[in-house]
Parts: sequence; structure tokens; C-alpha cells
Amino acid sequence: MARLIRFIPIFLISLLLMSWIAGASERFPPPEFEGGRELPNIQTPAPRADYMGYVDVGVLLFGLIFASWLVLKKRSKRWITGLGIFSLAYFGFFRQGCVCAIGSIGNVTQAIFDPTYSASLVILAFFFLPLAFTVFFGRSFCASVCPHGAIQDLILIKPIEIPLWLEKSLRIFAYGYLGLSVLYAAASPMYLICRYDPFIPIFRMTGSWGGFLLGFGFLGVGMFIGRPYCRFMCPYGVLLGWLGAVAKKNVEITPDACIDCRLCEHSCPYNAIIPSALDAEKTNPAVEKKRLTWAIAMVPILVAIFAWAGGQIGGALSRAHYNVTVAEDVYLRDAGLTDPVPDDNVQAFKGTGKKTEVLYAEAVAIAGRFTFGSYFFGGFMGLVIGLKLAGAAVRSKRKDYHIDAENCIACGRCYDSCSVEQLRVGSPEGDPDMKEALAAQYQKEAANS
Amino acid sequence: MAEATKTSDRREFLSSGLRGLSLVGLGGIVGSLIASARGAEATFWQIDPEKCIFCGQCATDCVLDESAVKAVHAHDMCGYCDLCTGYFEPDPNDLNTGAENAMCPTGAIKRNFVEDPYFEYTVDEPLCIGCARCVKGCTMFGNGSLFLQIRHDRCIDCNECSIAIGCPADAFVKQKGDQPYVLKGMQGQAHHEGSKH
Amino acid sequence: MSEPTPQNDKAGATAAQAAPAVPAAKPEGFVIGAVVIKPEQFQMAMAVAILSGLCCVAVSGILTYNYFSGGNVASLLEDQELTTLKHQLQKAPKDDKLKMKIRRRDWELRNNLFHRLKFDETGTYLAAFSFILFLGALKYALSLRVEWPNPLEWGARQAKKEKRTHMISGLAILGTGMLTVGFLIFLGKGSPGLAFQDPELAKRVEAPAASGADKSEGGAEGPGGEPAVPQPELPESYPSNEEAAKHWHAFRGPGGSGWYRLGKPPLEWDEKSGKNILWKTELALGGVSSPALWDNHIFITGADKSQRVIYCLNADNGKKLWEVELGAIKRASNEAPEVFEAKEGFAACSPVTDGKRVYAVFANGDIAAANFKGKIVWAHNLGLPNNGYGHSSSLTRWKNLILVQYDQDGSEGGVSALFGIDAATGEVAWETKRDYGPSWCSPIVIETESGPELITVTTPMLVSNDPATGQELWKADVMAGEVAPSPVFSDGLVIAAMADSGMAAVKPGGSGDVTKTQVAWQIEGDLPDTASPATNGTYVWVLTSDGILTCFNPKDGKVVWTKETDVTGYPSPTIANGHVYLTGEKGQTLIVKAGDKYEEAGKGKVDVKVGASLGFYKDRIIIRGSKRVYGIGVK
Repeated sequence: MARLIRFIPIFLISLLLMSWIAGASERFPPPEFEGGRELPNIQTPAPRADYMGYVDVGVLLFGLIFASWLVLKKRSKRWITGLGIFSLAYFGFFRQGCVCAIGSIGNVTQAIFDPTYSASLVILAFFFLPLAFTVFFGRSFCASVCPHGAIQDLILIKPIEIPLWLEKSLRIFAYGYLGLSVLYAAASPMYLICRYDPFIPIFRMTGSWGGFLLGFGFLGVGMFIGRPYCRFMCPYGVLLGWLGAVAKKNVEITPDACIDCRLCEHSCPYNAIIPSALDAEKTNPAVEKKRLTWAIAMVPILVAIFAWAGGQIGGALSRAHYNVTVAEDVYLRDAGLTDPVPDDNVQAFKGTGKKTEVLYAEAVAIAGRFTFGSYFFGGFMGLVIGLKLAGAAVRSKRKDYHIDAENCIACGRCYDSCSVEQLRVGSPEGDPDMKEALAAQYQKEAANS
Repeated sequence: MAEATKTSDRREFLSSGLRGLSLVGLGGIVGSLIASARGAEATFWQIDPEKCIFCGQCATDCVLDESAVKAVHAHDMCGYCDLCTGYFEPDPNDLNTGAENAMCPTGAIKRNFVEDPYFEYTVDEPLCIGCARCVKGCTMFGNGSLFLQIRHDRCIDCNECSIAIGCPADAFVKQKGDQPYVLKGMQGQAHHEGSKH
Repeated sequence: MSEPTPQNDKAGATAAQAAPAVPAAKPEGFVIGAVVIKPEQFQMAMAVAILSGLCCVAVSGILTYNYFSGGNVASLLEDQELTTLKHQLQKAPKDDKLKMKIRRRDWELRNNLFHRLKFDETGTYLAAFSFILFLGALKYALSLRVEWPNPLEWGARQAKKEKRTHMISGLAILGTGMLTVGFLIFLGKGSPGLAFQDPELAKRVEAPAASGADKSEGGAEGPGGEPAVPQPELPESYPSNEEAAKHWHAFRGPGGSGWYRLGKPPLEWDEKSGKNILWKTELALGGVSSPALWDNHIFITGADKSQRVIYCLNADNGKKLWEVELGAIKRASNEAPEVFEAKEGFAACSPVTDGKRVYAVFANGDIAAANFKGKIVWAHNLGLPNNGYGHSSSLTRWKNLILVQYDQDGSEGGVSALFGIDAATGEVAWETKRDYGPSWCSPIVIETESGPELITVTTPMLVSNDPATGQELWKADVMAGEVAPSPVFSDGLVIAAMADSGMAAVKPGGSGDVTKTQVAWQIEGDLPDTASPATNGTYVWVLTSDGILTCFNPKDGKVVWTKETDVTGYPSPTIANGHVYLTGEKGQTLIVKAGDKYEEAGKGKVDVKVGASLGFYKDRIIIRGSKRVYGIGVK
């Protein structure tokens, strides 16, 4: 009897333990196998180790240093392309496009606006390092560290020159994309940049049909129009452009004084060379000043108009958020205003057991954030257009060929075209193969004449 | 000439001023984010099986052709039933392994006799496409020992997980690198224990 | 670049003859046009580029074709053929050929998917490799072709045109800006506002609800023809009893008496000959629940272990208007309930409708409301019932409340319950726990002098509650056994019958235990264990499961006549057009005169098993076989 009593607490404890382990959901108690049985464990393959993220940062840092050196000191298109191929292979195809500086805009924005979220150090490094390098050395990141830039630079075969007015208009889209990306990341958070990245499906060699179409579309266009994504879409490029404009050092077309030979005039496929103002038409400084004053005075008006217009689209933009879509679906169905075809979203929502009031409240809050943010988005667009207009009102008076520091992505194509550079490194005409080819050409011409 | 030098001096001054300003701004933003993150580690997407409503979108929404989400089985929760509601369709024609009875569209669940009246069910991972049919059957009518998990040997860890975007149950969570799985059964308990210490 | 063709030669020769002075005019030392440095390598590289380019295009083409010709995960999951075959197998579970077909299709699909995935992977690598080769070769070739820039050909310096360029750029930027603003305004004004924030929409949502409701409720009842006193606003209006009585809107019809007073349904039909069969409609899911109608809408529930569906059919032509599945609902337990009759028992409870929505409850405790467009308005779960044969009590409505009898087998007591559920929101307005045993009967609401009463049959009591609050009014200890026949109200008496306990009539309006005070009469005899009595106010008819039909006088419980028929089964008898319709499980219906002696008046037959009671619409009968519904009427 005493022995039995001793067992009671053990029995009770084991009962408690069993019920705790079993949880509430076990309708069919797991069997006790005769003679016991080793139950297989769930395999849990580890994700990519944390330290690999720091390796990525290391590669990025190395790439930035190397690229800056190549662009500013080595001045070699060939080497820049080589580094670009490496970056494309590593960040593009090996790392499959994630983590990337362009996409980090979303994370950083969310980290600023969402107190419950914090971006990892690796992502912050990817956001910060290229920007910091640009402040000192110009956009060498674009030249050969960014896989998106590298793939487009490689694919460019026969550049077509775009008229400057079209170029300047199209560049505004990048600002719009930046504004929208920030708005979405701050208000929902959704990462537009990552979701609609055209090259990610190519890097991963898998993806949706639409994604591939976009990617191949950009590559196809990119064979003839240099870097269409970088120039007209890239939101990170906008940030880099701002910093590039005030960079300590930038690409110099010529290693020495410009002799105004004009040879580089059409060498830039990205419309980023500002021609020499030598023998430019005389301008009336008073008129120019007046024009500039007008343009600057326009800025606040434009900001106000755009902010108002932007405020109108908050609701429409918030529809991209899943909760808002579901709330609308549920509302319309409950009200009997939509087709009674069973809707996955609504079914799934009912399945969660959440109250519709809660859903509506959430959706209203999200729509409110979007509306609030879209005023800023509109204002930002107004500011951009106002400043661009002011920029168009002034003309460069520099009497040499120089780069447009905001838009130059340091690809190095202009180096080879510069006659001063060719004197420095040796003209291609000195190449024995070239000599032979030239001789043949001369003979042909002589025969013709 | 003097005019030109003056202009370029002014330009250089303005430029360096802006440069300093942007550096301070950038440093401020990133610095404060680092401070608030306090050395945030990388996180990984995972499915919380308690929130999952087995809608089946994991099979089709992943950027990979063959989803990174697959079913796993917590054997210690399994009832080893003959009539497994995760293995068989509702109202099966017969309790055998014929395709007409099986719920799994790819035959990824293997049914093996253990001892009367128990059968063991194991997931053949390369065949699983993450459609959650077995999970639905098992969770709604059985013990819920089958559940979905992102397999990190397959997941490429997109910045914005394309399944998470459309997940109607908000079941996608970000997990730290030392606990990239949210498991059920004893292994899940062990994890919870581990996280407490 | 390539061997000069004869044509080129000729052209070159003509050019040389025609304009010999042109090259000479060029300054010395300038090479015009491109120079190819290594012609052989150039040609080779171009050839490689073209070939690899073609290869890339071809592989990409195949991959694209593959993408659109299925073979992906989605097409595997949604394969129609497999679904159809599996449905066929459910109908013919012994068909081994069908099983083989399913296995073959299943194998095909899986094989297709995994081969496709493997093929796509290889194809993608091949395409990528050939593209890299193409690009490399082309770039190499182009690097061999040198073209010097020639500023002399460019004309005036760009700087000359600067002024114009800047002007145009400025205009272009301004234009883009205006386009952007226009687009923003278009997007903002053009897209509809968010539905849940749109005041216009909110008005529209409220409007049809108000117009569809019965407006006479307050006004017609104004005392002495005085102008109606404005009633306090109700949460939602609902049809009056008179309005509802125009429709066979619930199990056993208006008032639960099984008496259809409106049309003249036929006395004869036959599925074989097609006589008076107006239409037949197949349903995917079976059940023994009876149809509920409102105007020409027929509502029928169907269910199996995992699915619960409300069907809506058009009573005029039998066309299915919609069906809606309850879908995922938060449940305390997802266990399948125990039910009687294998499959049909999952949908044994009949729905009820108020002309705005249909309400249905299922064997697992799921209860839901759908509007007339087939949208679930609310749905939840009352908890898994524990009552042996499966929950089968049908719903009834009183004012804006849907009343649920949820009596279960609880040895500790307090498990059984009555619910009053708000029809509009699905919220539980009241819940009354009680200690009675399980019941398979359906509740009725009666209007008495002392007010409305909710009558439920349970063991061992016949019970009355206040339908507004759920408070128990009275109970009479007159029932026993596993009660299933529902009560009827006739001539001021609540009558309940059960084979084990006999039939009893109780006067309503009492309070507390009225066994000794209010029971008008109690008799024993051939009484049903499942089918409910039917009454036309003069007589009460009961039909036992083995076919014994008895006509009683409800005033004193005296047997008027009795007759043994061949109508066996569970459907309850119904009265219409002066006749009693007795439907049996084999699909047969016997029609006898509703009079003081037995007189056969007609026969009907459909060729399916029938477990449900009849429904009525105009001059028509609606018969619900498990998975087939009939419209019966004179053509």
C-alpha cells in the first residue's frame, strides 16, 4: 500500500506531462508501439548562415573600392566590364539578386516608419555603402558593382541616341517610381521594387510569365537603348544621382585638359556628356536670370498642385494592399453587390474567424495612411518637376567636355574616345593588327579613286 | 578668367557643403537605424502552422516552379490511423494506396504498415509540391501532425516573399537564423523551450 | 565583313565610275567608315553569334510553348479530367475500370509535371548558355570592327543648338509634369472609392434592404384604423406571419403543420412515363433535408463529411441559380459528426428563409446565412453536437430570430440548449441551457392568446419557451424514447406523438410543470418514431415508418380511421388540396382524401430514394431525392 501511494504523485505528474505534450488537438492518441519505435524527426535543413551575409557585404565593399579605383585611376573600360561580369555572376546569378541595394530602399523605409521592424545590418550596409562611396567617388557602384547595371551594360550592342528632351522627360519616371516605392513601403509595407524587379526572374531563371516578359523586354530594349532600367526606372539611381552631383571626385573624360576635339561627343550611350560651351550662342544673362527666377518661383506652386493631385489617389493606391482588397470584397459581397461566385479571398477571410468590423477598421487605417502619404508623394513629384525645370533654365558655361555628374554611371566608354587619353595610353592605330587593317582600307580607297 | 574662377569656387563651395550635408544625413539615418536595430540579425521566412489555413496557395505562389514550401510530418503527434484523413480523400473508395483514394496529387505521402492496426505516413519531400491537401485533411479531421514548412534548403529568401504577399491567413512570419522553423510536436516544444532560455 | 557578292562588285564599280572625285576630296589620313581588323575572326565570331542566337531563340520558344501548354503545378491541381473521373467513381464505387482510368490519369499528370520541371531546368540553362555565347561572340565581333568618330560629319557644335535644346527640354519636362498630374487626377477621380468608405454605396446597400422588407408591419396593426404610430426603429424588418404563410418557407411549411393551403398540386405523376414531371435537377451533394421556398426560390442543403453547401434552384424550371459552400469556419472541433444513414445525414436539417436570406444548419453544428444572391452573410459553428444519429433538428424563424433546438446527449446535463440567433448578423441573441436529453425533433412557434411560444419536443418533456428571450414557460412530462417527430399545433392544442410514449395534447399558456394540469388527452397506438404528424385543423394524420396511417381527432385523441399502407420510410405526410400526401422512402407517394374515411385518390412515383418531406410552390410539388430534385405539376 505504501508503495502504491508513493507512485501516485509520479502517476499524476506523468499524466500532466502527457496532457501537456499532447496539446488540445489530438483526436487519435499516438499509439504505444510494442517494443518501442524510433520515430523519425522532421529534417530541418539550415538556411544560409548569417556570416554569409557579411561575406556579401565584404564582396560589395571590395567591388566598390575596386570599381572606384578602376573608374578614377585605372580608367579602363575593359577592366570595368570585367568587374561588372564578376558582380553579375556573384550578386546576380549566385546570390539571385537578393540582397540588393535597390531593394534595400524598401527595408530602410519600413525600418523608419514601422517601429516593430528593424532592418538587418547586412541590408543597412547594402543601402549605405554605395551611397557613401558615391559621395566621394561618383557612381562607380552603377558602373560595375550593381548586377542590374552590369547586365544592361553588357547587353548594349548598338546604342541609339535619344534626344535630350525625351531623355529628360523619361528620367522623371525614376523619381515617380522612387516616390511610389517609398510610399508603399511606408504605408503598407509592400516592396514594389522587389516585386516588380525585371531582372530577378532572369537571375533566378524562374518566375512568373509577366516577370520574364518584363525582364526580356528590358533586355531587348537595352540592346539598343543603353541601360533603360538604370536611366528611367531605378529608384536607387535617383539617390545615387543626387549624391553623384555633389561627389568629391567624378569621372573625368580626359586625363588632362580638354582640347575640344569633339571626339567624345557621341560616345556616351546614356546622354551624360555635357558638350563644351565653346562658340555657344551668346546668352543674355539678365534673361537667363529672369527665367531661372520664374522657374524657382514656380516650384511651390507646382508642389501645391501636385500634392493636391497626389492626395486624390491614396485610396486607389491602397487597393494594392491585400487587406484593403479583401475588405472591399467582403463588403461588396455582404452587401449583395457583387457576383455570388465564390471568392477565394472572402472564403479565406471567413476561415480566419476575424470579425468584419476589425477587417474594415484595418482597411480604413491602411487607406488613411496611403492618403496621407500620397499628398507627400504628389508634393515630391511637384518638387522634382519644378527643380528639373529650373535646371533646364540654366546652361553650362564650361568650355570643355565634361560629364553630367548626376547621370553618369561611370561605364568608361568615353575614355577610349578621348584623343588626349589615346595619346596617354597609346592610340589603337599603333596596334599591329590595326595597322594592317588600316593599310588594307587605304589600299581599297586608293583603288576606288 | 577671374570671373570663371570665382564661379567655379562658388560651385565647389556649394558642392562640398551639400556633400557634407548628405553625408551627415545618410550617417544619421543609417546610424539611428543601426542603433534601433541593435545588431539585428538576418531573418528568414517561415510558416506558422497554427495560423495556416491550408488554402493551397503555397504550391503556386512561390517564385520557384516547385515551391519551397513542403509538408512535413511530426510523427510524435500522428495517430498512425488506418483511415488517415491526410492520406485518403473524404469518403475513400477503399483503404489502399490506389490513386483514386489518395488525397496527395503527386503521391508524395507514403503509407507503410507498422503493426496492427497502425500505419506510418511519411512525406517523400522531392515529390511534395506544398499544395496542403494532406495538411487540410489531417488538421481538420485528424491530429494535425502534417503541416507546411518552408524548406530552407530550397528557399532563396526573397526580400519580399511572394507567397507571404498573398497569404490570406497572415501565416508567414520572419524567424531568426537560429530558429528558422516553427514546428509542431516534440520538436516544436523543444524549440519553444530553447527560446525561453 | 563577308565575301563581296557580284552585285556589290557591280555597285562598287558603278560608284567608282560615277563619282571618282569623292574619296579624293577627303582630307588625307582619314579613314571613312568602319575598319574590320581581323576579317576571318570577325566572320567566325559572327557565325557563332548567329548560330547561338538562333539556338537561344529556339530553346526560348520551346520553353514559352511549354509554359502555356500546362504541365505546371496549377494545372496538376486543377485537372478537370481527374475530378470528373473521381466523381464518377463515387457513383460507381465498384467500377475497377474506372479506378484504372483514375490511376492512369494520376500517373500521367505527375509524370508530366516532374518531367516538365526537369526539362524546363535543362532548357533554361541551355538558353542561358547559348545567350551568353551569342552575346560574347557578337561583342567580340563588334570589337573587331572599329569605327572612328568623325566630327566633320556632325555639323555644327551641339553648343550652337543649346538654347533650343534647353527650351525643348524644359517644355518636355513641363509636359511630362502635366501628364503626370492629369494621370493622378484621372486615377483619383476615375477609380471608384473604396467600397467600405463610400457613402453612396452605403446608401445603396441600405436601400434594397428597406424596400424588400415588409412595410405593413407597423402601419396595418395600428389600433382602430388610426394612423399608425411610428414604431421604434427595429434592428431590421422581417416578414409578418401572413407574408411568410404565402411561401413554404421552412420544414413542414408555415406554422409547421405540414398543411399547404394555397395551390392545387397534382394527384398523379410518374418519372418513368414522365407524367407531370416538369423538371429534374441533379445536385452534387446529397441530404435528407426538406426544401424551403420563397417565391420561386427553392433552397436545399447538401453535405458530406467535408463539404456543406446551400443550393438555390428556380422552382419554375429547376435551373440551379447558385450554390454556396460554407468554406472554412472557425470551429471548436473539426471532427466529423456521427450521423445516421452514412452520407445523407450530414444534411438532415432543413433550412428556413425569410425572403431576404436563407438560414441553414448542418450536422456538425455549422450554421450560416446566405443572401438571395448566394453570398454567405454570416457563418459560424455552434459546437459539435453529441446526439448519436447526428443533429437533425430544422431551423425555424420568429421575427428576426432564427431558433435552433440543440438538444444533445449529455450525461452531466446542461449540454442541451436552445439558441435565438439574430438573422441579420448571426449573433447569438439568447441561449438557454437545459438538462433535457437528445432530440431529433424540430421546433415550432405558435401564437396563443397569452403570447408566442416556442414549442420543442425533447425527452422526457414537451417544453415551451418564450421565443423572444428563451425563458422556459412550461413543460409537460409526456415524451419518451429517441424523439424525432416534430409537434403540431391544432385547435388550441399542442400535439406531439412518439411511438414509445404515445400521443399527447397539451394546452399552451401554462407555467412550470403542467403535466398534471394542462394535458388535454394522452393516448397510445400506432404512432411514428420519425415522421411528424400533419394537421389541417380538423384531423391529425400520423404515418409510422412501416406504413400504418392513422387519422385522429385532435380534440379528444380518438382514432377516426386507420389503414396499413405500403408507404414505408421517414418522410412526413403533408396535406394539400384536400388530400394527404404520403411519401415513402422508395420514391412513391400515396395520395388519400383528407376526410373522415380512408379513400385513395392518386399515386406518384419517382425513381430515387426519398428521405425528405415534400415542398410546395403554386400548383406544384417539389420532391427532394437525395441528389435529385423534382418539380411536379400539370404540364
